[in-house]
Amino acid sequence: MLHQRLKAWYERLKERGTNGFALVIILAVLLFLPGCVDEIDADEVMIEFRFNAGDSSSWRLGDYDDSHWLQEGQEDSLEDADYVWVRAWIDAGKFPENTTSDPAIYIGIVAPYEVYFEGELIGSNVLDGYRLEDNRGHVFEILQLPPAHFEEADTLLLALRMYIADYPPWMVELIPGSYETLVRNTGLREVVQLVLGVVYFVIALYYLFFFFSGELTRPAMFFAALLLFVSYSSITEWFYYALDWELSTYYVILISDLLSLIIVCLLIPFFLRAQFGFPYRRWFYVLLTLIIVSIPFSLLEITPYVAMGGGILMTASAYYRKQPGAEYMLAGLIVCTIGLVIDMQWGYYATDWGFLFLILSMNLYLLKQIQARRKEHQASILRSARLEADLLRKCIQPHYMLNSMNAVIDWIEVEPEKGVEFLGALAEEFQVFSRIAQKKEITVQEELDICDAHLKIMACRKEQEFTLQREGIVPNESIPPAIFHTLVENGITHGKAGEGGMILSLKREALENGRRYRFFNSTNGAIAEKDSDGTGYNYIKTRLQESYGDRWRFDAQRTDAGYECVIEIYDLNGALS
Amino acid sequence: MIRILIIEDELRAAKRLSRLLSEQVSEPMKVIHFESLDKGLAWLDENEIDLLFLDLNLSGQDGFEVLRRTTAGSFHTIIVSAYVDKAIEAFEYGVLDFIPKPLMVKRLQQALDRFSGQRSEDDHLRYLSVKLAGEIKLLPVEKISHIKAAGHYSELFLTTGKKMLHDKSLDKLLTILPSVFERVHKSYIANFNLAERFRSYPGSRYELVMTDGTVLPIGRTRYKELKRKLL
Repeated sequence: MLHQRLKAWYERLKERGTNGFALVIILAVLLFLPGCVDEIDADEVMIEFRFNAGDSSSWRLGDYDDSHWLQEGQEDSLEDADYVWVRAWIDAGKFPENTTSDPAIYIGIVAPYEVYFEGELIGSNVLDGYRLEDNRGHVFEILQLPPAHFEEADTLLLALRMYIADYPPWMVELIPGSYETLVRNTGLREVVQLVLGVVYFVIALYYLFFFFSGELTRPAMFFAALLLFVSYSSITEWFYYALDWELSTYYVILISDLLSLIIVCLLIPFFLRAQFGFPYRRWFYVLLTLIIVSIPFSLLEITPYVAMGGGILMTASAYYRKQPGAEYMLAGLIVCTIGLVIDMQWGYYATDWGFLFLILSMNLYLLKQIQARRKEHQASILRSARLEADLLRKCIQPHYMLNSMNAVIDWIEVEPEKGVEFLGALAEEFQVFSRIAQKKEITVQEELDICDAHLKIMACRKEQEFTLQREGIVPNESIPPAIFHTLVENGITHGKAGEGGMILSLKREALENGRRYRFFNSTNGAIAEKDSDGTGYNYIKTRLQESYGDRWRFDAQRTDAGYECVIEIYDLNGALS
Repeated sequence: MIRILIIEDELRAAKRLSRLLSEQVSEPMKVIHFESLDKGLAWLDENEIDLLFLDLNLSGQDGFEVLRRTTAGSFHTIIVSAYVDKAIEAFEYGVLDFIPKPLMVKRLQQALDRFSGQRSEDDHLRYLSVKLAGEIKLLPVEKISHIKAAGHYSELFLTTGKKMLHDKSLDKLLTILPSVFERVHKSYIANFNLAERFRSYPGSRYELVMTDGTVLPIGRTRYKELKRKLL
């Protein structure tokens, strides 16, 4: 039926992108919504509609034969006309019998109109002193229907004369009821729209704050943007009711509301992609295209479904890829879509409830994520502190110090000059360590300097030659501190000295997406298996994790000739298997 | 002649220990050094020594495995290590002494005194490493009721009634055992926590009755001191 279709279209237009809410305040506000549900079913009261283009004063009269007029469903062909008449037949008996308040009708039309009831002009939305054709008027009117006519006949005629030349597509919203109820419902809707709009705005600011504080970057930005547009729609809807704007202003706002609905539909996939990632780039663009294409094709009727459906598929894919929290979002989107369908069929403000659920799930998930980020942040601070302590401990490990002192005492007893030389080497190692202690990464050259200082000390203590062979080293590349140093330490502990002392080797190889270091030392076969995951290797792994996230690989294994450790570091944009 | 083995992976440290030993020990001695633990232990399986100086990394479990092996031997083990936090644990396993690094002459002298028979004043020993069917078991010392000399070896009598052989002589065991263990006779050491009473016979002959009824002979010269201890 026309009025219903128009009404649905109008309601969708407003509410799809407009209402929507989060948190308890909104829930409380929504509890008012059942209060503004229409008291009677318009379908039962408005028995029949007839449409015609043109203009005649006789069309307002009940005895005019309108049987050749267009019926419901055919009225779209009238859009090019200047004047259109709608004749609605009302079943007087079905009208609410309210002893305290007169029967009335709520009319919302984005065009200037005059309303005739049983041939009598009962009102118009045109401003005083203007004609219909001047296009100066309000959108909404609540007009009382003279109760005397209800005694005269069973079916009554409500005729609308509209001038639509300047405001296509026109829309008609007719709600019959008692005057008191219609006024109260309108007031309630005003309050609900305003509160929801403001609450949305506050939540949007809240997430904008997170965005600018850098706690949640892209998802928070998209979520805040989404809420801002929804909030805009809500608040402008309140303006229509409250400020009684003129048609021209209303028209501009209607257009901007439509635009904000489109933007909200587009923001949903962007938000989801920022939140969960979406590896199928092509399908993402297909979804965006579908949303945009659906706008002119369906006059926005199916656009929200396209957006929600696409969103559900994206989230399902995130769920399949085991993205944390995808199940909350999926539930929110599905409930919201069900709400859209219910609202379309039966009303009940189901869109608002569905949207509330969606916003709550988004909120819940984002807040959880913020918590997780904070925890992770604190953990990373702790990890950095622990790594720094580990690094220093490496240098001042008691057994390392005490063994060195033991050596120094020996030189003092027999060969003091050598002792001085040794202390110099020890000091050198300490100096480098204290210089790099707080750095997360140092150059390969600095790292090799530490290794050399360490080898010099061990050479003195063990009276043995140590050589660290290098191949393909790029000195300016960065690396977490004391990685090679740890490998050198292990190498000395487990390595085997040949004729010319002990030879360790470090080789750099370029990878397609990064670099690889191979550290090798020949062994005396004394490495127990459990050494391969000892504290030294844990240090290396934690350091690599801190600096490169998942973009590294560490492997230590026995070979026929000795022991080989492999470190691979991948570039940021490198593929990672 | 005292036969001493040094297992120390830093040549510098081994040389110094060797030098200090030649300064401190007046008796004739022979010092052998290995840098590698594995090689040293392998050599030990084939050769007899009196004293082992062992530099051990005790930060892992492997170090204690080695310790169990050496303390079960007939010789004494002295740890020379920078891992000082593990000293007490090492004593529990029955080492004669634990010298922290850096090695100081005075501390080395104390260890050598202990080696030459002076009993330790610490009661750290908790387990005796015992070779049993090719394996090394840790035997809690409180389970030992008394010990009997058996040639160069010792026979451990346990509270459970079992007997075990230990490679160390009665003298060597006494230097590491806690003070509740006392020499009651030339051939016997008794755990006084498990001693019940003395029995005396005419002619200044004495016996010690253990709680399980075992009777141990008491040397004439030791009776007075032991009686004071038990009462």
